[in-house]
Amino acid sequence: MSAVPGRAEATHAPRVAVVGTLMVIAAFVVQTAVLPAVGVPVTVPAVLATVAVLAVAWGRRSGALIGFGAGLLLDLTGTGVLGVGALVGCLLGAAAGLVPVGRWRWSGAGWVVLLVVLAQGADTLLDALLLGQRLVASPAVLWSVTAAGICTVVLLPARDLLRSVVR
Amino acid sequence: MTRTRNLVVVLVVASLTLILWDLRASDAALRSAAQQVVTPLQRTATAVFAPFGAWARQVQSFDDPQSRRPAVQAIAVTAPEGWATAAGRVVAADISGTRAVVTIDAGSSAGIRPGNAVLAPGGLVGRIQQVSPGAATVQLVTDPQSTIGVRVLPSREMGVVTGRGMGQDLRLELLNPAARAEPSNALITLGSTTREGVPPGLTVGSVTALDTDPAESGRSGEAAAVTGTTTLDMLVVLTERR
Repeated sequence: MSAVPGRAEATHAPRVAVVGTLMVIAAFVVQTAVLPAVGVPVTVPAVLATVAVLAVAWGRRSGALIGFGAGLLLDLTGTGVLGVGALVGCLLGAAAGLVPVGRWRWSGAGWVVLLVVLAQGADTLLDALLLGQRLVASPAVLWSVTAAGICTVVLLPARDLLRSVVR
Repeated sequence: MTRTRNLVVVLVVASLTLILWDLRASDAALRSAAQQVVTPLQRTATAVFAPFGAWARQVQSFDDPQSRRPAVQAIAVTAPEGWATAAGRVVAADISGTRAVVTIDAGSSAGIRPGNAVLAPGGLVGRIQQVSPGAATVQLVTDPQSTIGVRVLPSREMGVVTGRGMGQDLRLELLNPAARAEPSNALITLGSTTREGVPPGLTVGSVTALDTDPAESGRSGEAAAVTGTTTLDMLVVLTERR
């Protein structure tokens, strides 16, 4: 729970809001339209991965807010229960903000991937519980976990760049 | 630190309030408005990136004459007579273990309503779930929440097919334990005679496997859908019986 030394806790609020919003919208378009259009057979959680990376870069406060907004966007345009994505997103942001950031570029990558996978699983489970949907065992689960991992690792190098935005 | 914790608590409470509100009184207008905003973005992104997907598919299935025919005409040929149709392009997709939903860029302003049948080349691929003026979501037959009444040809035995998620064959259950059916038999919709629902006689897929030991309650097996969910492009919606 202690503050991680060297982390800028969202010092530049308007810049964080603008860059965060743009990145979430870009991730949303990539997740829902671009990847299906090029033939990726399963939904890649690009939005959740973006939330996690932004939270790692900018801290829990920004992470929770951006996660809430991103989740709400997914809820409003998806077929699940409104609020489930927002809940998962804000908790993911708050949790990813606690991942220690070291000097090494990939430090904390494992935690971030784990959090994204957990968030995605929680989203699916909550929707299924609330709507009384059938949960089916499917190879898609493995696909999703792999996709979450790849997506997060691809986004993670953006962290340093993002941290320089708030200084 | 306390301020951050308060913020997280406020956001969690807000989310829970939204969940309760949506479960008690779902508001279609809000979703419709959001869909209106994002559909143009998704349509543009799809238009830009679809050629890459088409190229990748061509490399995989070299020289497939079926894919070269103008898509909408090819589908419209399979549509039953006497139905008004609307065409839409798939602009977004959500395909996972628990969901198989695509969004098309045609909606209520084209006459599309929830429950309408959606066709791809070969037959039925799903039904309309939600609509906004310029977009509609299609629950594909492979969605685990999708159940469709079918008949097996040629015996005309009744049954239901249920989706099992991405990359899995459909589950087929025939009501009659002594039903005559074999792999490669065609499945058609049982359908309804309502003005907007799924009409009878649309191809849903074909039987791929049947249990050899029929249970007392019926026969079960597996079926293949008419087309893969990842190659959907233009779809035709049966909006209303004329």
